[in-house]
Amino acid sequence: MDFATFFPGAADWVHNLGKVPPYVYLTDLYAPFGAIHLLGLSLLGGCMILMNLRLLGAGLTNESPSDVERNLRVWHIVGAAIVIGTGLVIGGLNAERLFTSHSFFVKMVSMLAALIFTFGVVNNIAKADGKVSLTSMIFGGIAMIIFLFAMGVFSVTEGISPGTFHVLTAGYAVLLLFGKRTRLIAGIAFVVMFGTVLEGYVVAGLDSFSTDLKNLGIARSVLGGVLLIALTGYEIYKDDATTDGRIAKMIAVMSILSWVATAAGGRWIGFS
Amino acid sequence: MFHDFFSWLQYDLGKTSEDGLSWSMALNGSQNLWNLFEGTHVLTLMFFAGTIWIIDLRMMGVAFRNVPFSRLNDKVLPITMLAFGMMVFTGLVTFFGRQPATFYYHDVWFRLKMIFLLLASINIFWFHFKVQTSQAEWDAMPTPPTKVRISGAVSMACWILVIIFGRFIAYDWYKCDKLEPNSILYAFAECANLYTDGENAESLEDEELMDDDIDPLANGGTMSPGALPAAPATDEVPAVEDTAPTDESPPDPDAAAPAQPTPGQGG
Repeated sequence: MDFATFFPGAADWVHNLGKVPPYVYLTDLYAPFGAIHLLGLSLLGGCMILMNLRLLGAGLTNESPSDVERNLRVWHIVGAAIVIGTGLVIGGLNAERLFTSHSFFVKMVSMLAALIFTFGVVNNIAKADGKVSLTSMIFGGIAMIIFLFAMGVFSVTEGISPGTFHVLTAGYAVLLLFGKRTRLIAGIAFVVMFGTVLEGYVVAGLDSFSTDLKNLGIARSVLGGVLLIALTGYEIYKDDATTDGRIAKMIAVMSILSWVATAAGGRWIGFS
Repeated sequence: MFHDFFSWLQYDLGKTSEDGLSWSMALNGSQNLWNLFEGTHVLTLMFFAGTIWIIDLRMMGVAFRNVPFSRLNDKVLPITMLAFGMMVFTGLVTFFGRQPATFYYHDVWFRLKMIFLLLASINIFWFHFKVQTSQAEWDAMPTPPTKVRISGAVSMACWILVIIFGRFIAYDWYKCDKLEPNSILYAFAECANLYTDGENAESLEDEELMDDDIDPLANGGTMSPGALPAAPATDEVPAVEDTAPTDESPPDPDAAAPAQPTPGQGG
């Protein structure tokens, strides 16, 4: 699934995009913009993880969620502005390739969800110190559907599906940080996820194109995904007796994972 | 200095027969394994750099000014360290699996990255053993003393440069084969060692590393003893960095789209 499938009429426009201003003047600046894009992503990532972990009851727990949100707000916006601004440049310079890239499609869809989560839901929940309004619930639901759709495409698309590994391991890392009852299992699962990747290659005699290895990878991802959902659900259910608290925590987890999927999707454009 | 060691890692470690592959080369030729580690390296960077910058901003007195430094540091640092551990582990695997001797070690950007990584580490030690000893005096100050702000700024600058130089490793502007012999950069990257080492120079020729394309996988190379595994089909080529645009060959709108425009590589 890619943008060419949904917007076939845009092919000519995409083909000519690099030949017109401002892109025609920016070709030599492709590399610096790419580096700045990564810096923006890092700043955004730092703010995002601290904000969402706070909603999950981890990280900056001495401050109220609204305090954390207020302190991070400007950096959050700066990070997002850098990512989007530089992304428009490097994306425009490479438009033709991205137009038919499945991974880019996943990245964009996931980013839409991530932006809704971050600036439409999480920040509002944090400002209200954990109280979830009806509007937040509606936008959170919409973002969740978009994110799950992106993950669905990510999981079943040949060539990029291994990239879901990043989302799964990030999920375990998050559970490791906020989980109280399942932290040990999450830690073991995190190590096992990486271990089985390496072991798989040993099992297959380092022939990474083997079918056995591919099947092993699929099994690992499915089992890892199911266990992650079960552990996270259990942790959230046990950790908070209020509906608002549970919803806020679920949204926080989804928000983190949607940004991870966005970054992973972006990285796998180059690999696929 | 470490050329021979990295050559051993690249060509010999794990090689069980004359025709066999070393672990490094097997990893380089893998379909997804190297990608998984490199991708994780970039993602952990997002969490490591992002969280350490929040601490740096607090040290500079521009974020969390109402929160004592120790309170912020104690809560954020465990997250930073977890990400740092993963980043180092995946970074080492990434380095090991992509021609450590011929691709990374003699790369100007890689060396600059390592230098600033070292400077960032020195700054951490300076902060911990010198600046932090008087933490009680400035812990709650919205704007900490100059030495604290300098340490925060140095840390932030170092990590920014580490990321930028890491990203630039993907580009071949200053690869040894593009540098003038006897130039400063040629000496800085110890390029002479790359070409005068008989065994490796021969291997380099086998791998066509002297040519514009650094990675034979991206160039459709074939497996031969001592060289890299057979190239996967075009749409499976795992290499990214080697096909990135260069300043000699900027993206040409009339030609095929330039490769790898995404956040990624290096860091």
